[in-house]
Amino acid sequence: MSYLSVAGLNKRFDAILVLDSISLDVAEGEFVCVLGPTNSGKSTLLKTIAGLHRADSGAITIAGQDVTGVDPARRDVSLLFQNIALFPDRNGFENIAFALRQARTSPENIRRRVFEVAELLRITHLLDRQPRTYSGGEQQRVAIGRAIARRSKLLLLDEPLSNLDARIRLDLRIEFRRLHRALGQTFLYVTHDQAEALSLADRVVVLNGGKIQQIGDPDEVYDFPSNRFVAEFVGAPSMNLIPARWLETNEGHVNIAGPGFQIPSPNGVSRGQLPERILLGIRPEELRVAIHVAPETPFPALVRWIEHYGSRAVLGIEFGGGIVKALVSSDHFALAEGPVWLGFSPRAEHLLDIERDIFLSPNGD
Amino acid sequence: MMTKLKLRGISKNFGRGAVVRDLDLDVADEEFVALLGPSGCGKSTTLSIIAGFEQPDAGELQLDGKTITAWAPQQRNIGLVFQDYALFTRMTVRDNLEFGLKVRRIASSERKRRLSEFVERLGLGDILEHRSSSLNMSEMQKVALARALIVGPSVILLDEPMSNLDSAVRARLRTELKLIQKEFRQTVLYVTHDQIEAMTMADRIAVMRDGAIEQIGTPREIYDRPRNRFVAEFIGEPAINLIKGHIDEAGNVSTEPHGLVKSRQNWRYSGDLLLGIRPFDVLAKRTPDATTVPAVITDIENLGAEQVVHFPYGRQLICAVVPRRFSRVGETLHVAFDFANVHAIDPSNGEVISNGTEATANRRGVEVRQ
Repeated sequence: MSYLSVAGLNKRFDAILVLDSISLDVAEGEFVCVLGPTNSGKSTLLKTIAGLHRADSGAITIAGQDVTGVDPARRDVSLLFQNIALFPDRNGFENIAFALRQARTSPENIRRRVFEVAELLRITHLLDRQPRTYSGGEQQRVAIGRAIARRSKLLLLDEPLSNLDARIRLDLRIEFRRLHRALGQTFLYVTHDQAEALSLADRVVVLNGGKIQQIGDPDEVYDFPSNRFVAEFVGAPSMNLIPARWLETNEGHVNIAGPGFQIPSPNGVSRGQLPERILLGIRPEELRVAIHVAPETPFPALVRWIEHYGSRAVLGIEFGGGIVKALVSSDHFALAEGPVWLGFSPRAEHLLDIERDIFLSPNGD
Repeated sequence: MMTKLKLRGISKNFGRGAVVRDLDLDVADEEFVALLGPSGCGKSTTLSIIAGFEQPDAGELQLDGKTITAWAPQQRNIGLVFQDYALFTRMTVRDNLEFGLKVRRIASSERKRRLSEFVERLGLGDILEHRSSSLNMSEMQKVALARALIVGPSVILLDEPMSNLDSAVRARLRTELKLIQKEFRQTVLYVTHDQIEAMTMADRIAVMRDGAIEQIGTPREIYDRPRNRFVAEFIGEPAINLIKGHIDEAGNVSTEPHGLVKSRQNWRYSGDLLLGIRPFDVLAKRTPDATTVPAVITDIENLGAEQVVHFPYGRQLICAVVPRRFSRVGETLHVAFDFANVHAIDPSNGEVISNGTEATANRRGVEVRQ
């Protein structure tokens, strides 16, 4: 049964529809990430669930109770924001204890809870220090402590890692996963960062223009994107989308052709399914790159630039009048600017019907 | 190649202590150098000193062979791009681009020529008459860069220009910025806390900590041959594993779960050490063999193209990068390391003893001598 249920939520700011018929169910104890670019409506959705915004229409249910019109303080939710707002004149202990004191928790229970939380977050040494002595990562740990101390059933997190140094962001990311397991709370986590969403979430909700584009577990969203937006937004580097059209061969087979290539269409794709204009989706790690021509790599191309990631590298390759990107191991022999040979075997589910903005379904129906 | 920008013995104190300590740095003509380090390492102060907004307490600054240490900011032929762009928001893109040329009293015919050249090469034609307040973040970034480029500065300084952007926009701009820098052969000094930005764009990276440069080198050098623990940990994602181990007099390495492992390497070291092993170099297999120890997966991070599996190793938590959909939480995998891949670190001072030469040679595609 779903713990949080959002049904037909609409929200307008002036003329702009920021939430467009949002419906979403989150199970108890689930970790759900709402992923979208700036202005996709993801923070508005979170704030509406928290009760900080009122929806124009639609309903929000938490633990079976309709809370649509309920005061934020009376919803059993905790919030953690991107901007860390610790009380500067209170030490770590008092910052974490804040919500507990408001809830009139007994002093011994406050003490016990604060220490539990501090141990979980490894910040016991920060409890009697003032926030100004903390580093950025320490501040955010204490802020997390404050958000989870009350043990509300639902934790709403709004880009909690965005303002931190890249390295701290990475260290804290895995921490959220561990925290979630240790606490058993339901997490709704908003982010613009597809790496955070993929690595953290049980399920990802992809939002754009106030509309849900897709809901699925990280592998589903990565393997079976529902439309072009999801295909390009999820995955780094982005999926290559190469313009193509279908061709009937003399033998009656269907080929897919584009600038500089012609390949057999994937198994299970019939002529009837293929629209006139398609985009061929190839994940950068699925692109084959070789320095010699071979049956597996028949198409000439040119490496224009190389981006180093350490053990991996991304090649920017000129092919068919455009640029495609390949993700390769950094000991890959094509790791130099110059001519290479490419090959790819598209999957049926990565053929995009441009007109209808949908991918062909994997089963051919 | 000619040195464009030269820093010698630059130091700066702000009351509480040294922010920049005796810093030397050379940036060659047409080079892209990244100053990389955590918050508070002194990288932005260094940039301010080069721009002339701060005076160093000691040291000398040279640009194009001239000593400019005491020059006012506007006398230095330096372009700037900041995190918040500082565009004139009430002006159009055209006015923003022309501003610097007018200040420098460039003749109107030359202004026109340069403007049309930059608009064409940077593809700004569609937004030229737009007010800069109406631009999106990535357009703003491009205009800020164009404004810096158009006056033909000796060097452009960029201070965390992408910090406020979404990660998808950031990824796209990294590629664009690098291509523009190469096309215009512009000398660039780029300040960032994000090792991915430094790795993907810079010709050389200067890793800073506590006001000093820990190491300077190409992205491959910094990644493959870190000089110390700080650099090893700061570069690379996921972060390097640091495993407690021991080397005996005979050169054999032991870790708690693996016990003694014979190694052919000449470590020139014995005693306790930290074995720095990149998650990409940890072998996690489905079936055990003589080299492996079992590991129960406790966490998985999905990276899209690959996955990171986390597991206890002895009393430590470490991780490995494996193919996507390879494993799941609770599964037992069998892990091993190739000691040729190990960055051996002296735990007493954090210095790297050995960088596993065979592995790094392999990574660079160089043939290994047997």
